[in-house]
Amino acid sequence: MVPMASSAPHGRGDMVDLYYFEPPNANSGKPYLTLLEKGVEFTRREISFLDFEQHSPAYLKINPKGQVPTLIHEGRVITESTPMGEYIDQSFAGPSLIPADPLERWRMRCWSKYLDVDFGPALSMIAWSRFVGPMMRARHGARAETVIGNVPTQERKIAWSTAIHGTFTEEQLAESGQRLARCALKVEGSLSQRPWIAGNTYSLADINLYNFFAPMPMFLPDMVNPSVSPHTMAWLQRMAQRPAVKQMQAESKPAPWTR
Amino acid sequence: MLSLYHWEPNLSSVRPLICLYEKGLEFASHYVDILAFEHVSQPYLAINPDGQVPALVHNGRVLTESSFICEYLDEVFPGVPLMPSDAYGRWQVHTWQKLADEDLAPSVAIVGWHRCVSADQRAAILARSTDRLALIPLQDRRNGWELALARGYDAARLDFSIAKLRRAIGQLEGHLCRQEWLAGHAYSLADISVFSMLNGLQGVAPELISHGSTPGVLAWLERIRQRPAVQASLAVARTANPVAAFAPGPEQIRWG
Repeated sequence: MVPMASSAPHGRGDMVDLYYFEPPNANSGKPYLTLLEKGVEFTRREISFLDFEQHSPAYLKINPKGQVPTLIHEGRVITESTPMGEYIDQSFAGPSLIPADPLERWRMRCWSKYLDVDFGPALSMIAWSRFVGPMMRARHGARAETVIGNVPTQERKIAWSTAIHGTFTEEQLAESGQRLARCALKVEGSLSQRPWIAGNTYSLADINLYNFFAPMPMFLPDMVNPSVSPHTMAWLQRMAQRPAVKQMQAESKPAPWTR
Repeated sequence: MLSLYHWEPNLSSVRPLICLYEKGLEFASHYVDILAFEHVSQPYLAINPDGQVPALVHNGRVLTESSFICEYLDEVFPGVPLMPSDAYGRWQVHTWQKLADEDLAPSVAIVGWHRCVSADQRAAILARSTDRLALIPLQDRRNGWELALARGYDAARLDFSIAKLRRAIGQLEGHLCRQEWLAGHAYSLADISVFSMLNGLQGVAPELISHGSTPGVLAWLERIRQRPAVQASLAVARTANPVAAFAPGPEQIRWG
């Protein structure tokens, strides 16, 4: 979202509030894990996307685009999970998550953008088609049209309608599948050259990638497994062993489709 | 040693040019004619295997993605700072860059291509480049070129792009009627990024930018055009009207 010219005060100045979809993963998991890595105390404000709480009047007052996550810090509204990551890193003490080397920083930003514009939307389409869409239809039935009507912009109304009704074409799903496969190759290629995704330093790029890529052994078992992509599997394991990742997992309820 | 590979000083090519001139850096300028498909010629692919333009070469390293090239230049070299020093100001720049890259860039390219490149020109480009389309390394870019050259854009895609631009320009106008620059109190990479996308839009889509509807945006564009670094950047043009130079752009984000 575009910066607001004058941010209305929300909450107390010294507090940090994070609005996120529960359980924290994908875009919501990015700032959640970043705050945990930095050791920042924050108030967890769960938004239920199963009930479309992100389009409720109360949430739209906080983030008029109806997008999640949103961070409130010093009375300012910080949106867009990728820029939010750099904001968190620079605003709080704790280990640095932006590499000191400008080339690694450049690589971190390129990876984060690639996840935002290419891999993330492709994975999201496949996840909606397989798991989320059917669950939404079962939960909302005929009320779905009301829910779609509350989406703030026309383009996003169309996107939500497609996702809820599951009207992705076979061609779209196949194309998204190809993007997942290309991402698996790209990740393995990169991690075979360097320990972390942007270079020698653990960075926001690893945090951003992990929050999308963690379920890939399930989505693409032929391409993401110990014999085909050993570096990727080793990285996934190293990530899973990090205290902040363990904490995020411990605080997460099981994904709705497994409950 | 810095080398910049760029096309006409418009859209993503003009961004690193402005940045280099603002910082007062010496660089070798290499013109890559995209409509002649030089970005997929063997010499260029040897430098940048992705075939993306612009590309910066610094100490033998190839950097792409114009937003991040600019940030790299600002972090590595002295000269006038183009990023705010505080976290909130930097967040503002990053969100404006995201708007420029993900909302404006695909939509401006679609509307610009549709209105500035005639059907005859498209047919001529297609006739001389059929064998070269297959050389475009990135799949989504290859698809984008095939669509733009062979089929053109349908009404739905044009309407979607216009709507996206209208909303983004509305946000900009709301901001620029109160503030001189986009992020904080100083000219920054936020201004350079958004300017690069909108510099030629008034001529291409006067229904979106005009004295009546967007005086703040027009005054801001003019302030930026007065800067010596911007004039130096526009002077590298090889065509008479560089702001009408359009090629198929990055793809639109599928979730709106």
